[in-house]
Amino acid sequence: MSIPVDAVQAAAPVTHLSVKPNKCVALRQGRTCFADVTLTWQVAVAGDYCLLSNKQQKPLACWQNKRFGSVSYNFESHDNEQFTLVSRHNSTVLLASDIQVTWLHKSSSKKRRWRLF
Amino acid sequence: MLRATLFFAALLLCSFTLVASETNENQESDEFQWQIALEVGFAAGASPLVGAKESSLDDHLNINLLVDLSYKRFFIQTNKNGYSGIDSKLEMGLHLLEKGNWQLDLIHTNYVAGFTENYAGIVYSEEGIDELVGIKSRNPDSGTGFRFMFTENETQLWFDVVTDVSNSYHGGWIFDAYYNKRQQYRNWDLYFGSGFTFYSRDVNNYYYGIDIDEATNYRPEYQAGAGYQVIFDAYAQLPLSESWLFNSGISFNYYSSAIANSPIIRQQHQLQGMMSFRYVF
Repeated sequence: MSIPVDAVQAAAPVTHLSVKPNKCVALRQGRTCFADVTLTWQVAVAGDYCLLSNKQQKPLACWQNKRFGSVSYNFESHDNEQFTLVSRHNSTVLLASDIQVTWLHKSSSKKRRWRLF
Repeated sequence: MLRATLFFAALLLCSFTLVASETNENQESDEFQWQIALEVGFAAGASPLVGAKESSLDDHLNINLLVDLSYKRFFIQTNKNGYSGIDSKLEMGLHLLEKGNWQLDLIHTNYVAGFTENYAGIVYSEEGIDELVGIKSRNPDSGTGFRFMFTENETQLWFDVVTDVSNSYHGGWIFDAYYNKRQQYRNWDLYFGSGFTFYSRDVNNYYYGIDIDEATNYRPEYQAGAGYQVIFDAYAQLPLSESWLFNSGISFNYYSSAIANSPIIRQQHQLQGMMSFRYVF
């Protein structure tokens, strides 16, 4: 059974801040994780907005009189990073999202040997 | 028997002395820790033995169950970077001493894979591998000894000395020195290593010697002396998710004449490669 296009559009949020990928997997707990992230946002009313990160003082990007936008970002961190879309005029946080750092192996105090064969 | 008894007595004495003299500097976790992983991959050049050259897809397929357990000073670990076709590398041990970057372990491990006339490297033939038919079974090496290991940030160096204390395999001894440097490139871990392994005459004779009752027109009797192996390897690991890992590597091995001249060894050098996907539970 197919879902009507109108229903899909209605279900999609008008405002959103998406982070893709929203998860970065490091080999081991505590390691710096790297990802090429695309941040996409959309709001109901066109305006002046900036995209901020809790890891950086400067905005990642700013837009003037826009209702949507996107930016690529080289993520590089050993822990989670939060992104917020704020109004340039009053710094109100309109949207927030984050990228989470996870890992395959938990860190361990055990020192085990490395060898291929 | 006397040899084994003396060796065990020396090990126990050394273990108790070192453990008793240790201070609180040791940071070992008292928790029981475990990890199990299932690996499916492809390998090539797993063994330098005649008849062990992989030819079909089945020959290259390699499935491993990797187990790591540790409790206090005791540990069991599988070589997560290798594959069982060359040697299972399931080893157990006891941390005796840890001072800064150095640690001393009592280990029980294996260095040389066994083989039969049906199974060599990762090649299996129910009818028997032509070049190895008539050969007596060689058990995987099983040695007990010490590992002296240095780990600092991205560098690791160790020296192993193990011997077949029970004299139930070859009765010989093995010395292994290995150096490895790890580099991180984005989410990849890249490893570059080199090593030297010395095998006593008894070890080489057990694995590569040909007894008179094994000799044929194409496989003359052979007595192997002590010999060595030099290895250079490089491998890479990439986490694909919180449970999946991609693993790949290549290794160049050079064998001394005592090994390479054996009628059941194909060549003096061997290139090995592997690629696998691993699910970590």
